[in-house]
Amino acid sequence: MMITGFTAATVIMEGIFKDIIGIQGVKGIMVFTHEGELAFKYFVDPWQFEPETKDWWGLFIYTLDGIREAEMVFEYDRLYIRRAKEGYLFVLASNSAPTPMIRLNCEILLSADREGTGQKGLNRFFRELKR
Amino acid sequence: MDRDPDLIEALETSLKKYGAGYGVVAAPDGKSATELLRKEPITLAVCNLKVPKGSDIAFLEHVFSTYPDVGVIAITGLSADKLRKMVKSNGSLQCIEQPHSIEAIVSTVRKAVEQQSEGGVLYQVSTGMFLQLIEMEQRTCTIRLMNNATRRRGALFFKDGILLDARSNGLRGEDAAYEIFSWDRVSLWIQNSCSFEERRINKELQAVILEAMRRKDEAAALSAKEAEEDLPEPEVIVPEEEESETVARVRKRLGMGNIHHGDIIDIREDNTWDSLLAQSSRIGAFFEAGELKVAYVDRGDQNDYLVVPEERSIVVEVDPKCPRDKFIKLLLEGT
Repeated sequence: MMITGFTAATVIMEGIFKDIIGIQGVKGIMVFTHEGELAFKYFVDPWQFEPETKDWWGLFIYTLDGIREAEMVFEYDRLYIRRAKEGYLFVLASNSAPTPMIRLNCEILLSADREGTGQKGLNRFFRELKR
Repeated sequence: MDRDPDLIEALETSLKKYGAGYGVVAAPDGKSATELLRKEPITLAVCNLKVPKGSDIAFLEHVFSTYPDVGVIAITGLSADKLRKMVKSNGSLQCIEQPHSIEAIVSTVRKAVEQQSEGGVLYQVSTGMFLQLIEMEQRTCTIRLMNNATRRRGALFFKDGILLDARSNGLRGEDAAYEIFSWDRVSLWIQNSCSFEERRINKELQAVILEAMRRKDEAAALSAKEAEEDLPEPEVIVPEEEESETVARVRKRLGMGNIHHGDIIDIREDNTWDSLLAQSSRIGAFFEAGELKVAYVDRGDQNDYLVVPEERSIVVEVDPKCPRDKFIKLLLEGT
């Protein structure tokens, strides 16, 4: 696992995403701020990808232009994207992964933000990151 | 573009002192500025970036990639070199390092505007004849044009007499060139440089001009025919377009499933998705995920979209309650 945020925030993040990471076929998770900064990444194969080496994420986030949800289906894998209050959540999964389960778990995660419980949602991560 | 209304007002007042030639519009952030660029004939953008954020850099890259004829003056806390390194796309970028004075900004704006017409200004000329001279003289220049009849604006980019690209009313490349070359009388401003390298028009200038004339004649003939037919509602004449092969293919693929009537709202070609698809393809390549086959997008609108990458992107507008996975599967089976 490669850490791009602070350690405390990363530990919290791993806990937050436990359910999504546990879904069969999920290959990785990334969180970007609305400014296009990579705030967190986790890949099942820790050495496979280094998204922080690419400078075009900012342009991509800008192009998303507030899209609420997107699913990019490629030949082998798909990238599921969800807008959160403070950033974007990206889930990379193989095409054989149960995508309704991924969507459902993302919805549960983000609804925790909307309900303001503050214990499970993505906002908790961003709060830690800002400390 | 600036969040500080006082600086905007001071700049506006100072620029207007130099004559009626300057029209100034203000935007508080990148999003509003993007909207203004789409609607207004902007020739120069002055951006107060202080410490540029990712969204500021993305905005600059958006301007350079979408509006290559629009010059940018950035007022920044960074050095000019550092900002240029952060912005990957090529474009006309000048920097004013902070601290700055209003006079310094106004002077830079004036120079930039003057540079845009350093090669001369011509009024009431015929486009085709003039541009053939540019080709013959193998000139490198950026030509900004205004259709005198409609006040619509456009830009042409020449490198050594070769027409590289064109932009007009949201169009780029050949389509924009066809529109510009269909204008009868234009005013044009010549800049003796071209900050643009990529060739988007691969036809000879002569061929582009001829094709533009052909299209113009065809449109005129169609209008004349419609006038003769004395249609009952002549103000709303929309010729029914024949469905393209790709749209028909996508419709057929979706038609193979037992689809509930009303799930599909519309199927059409729509190239406004090209940028998102191109960038998604780049991400797919990075993750070794293979070729992009289809994208499902919820923009928070009334309907959602399935977008299929083709030469011209095909958009299937769907009810958000539609069976998304079934539709994706049907589209994937057809590829």
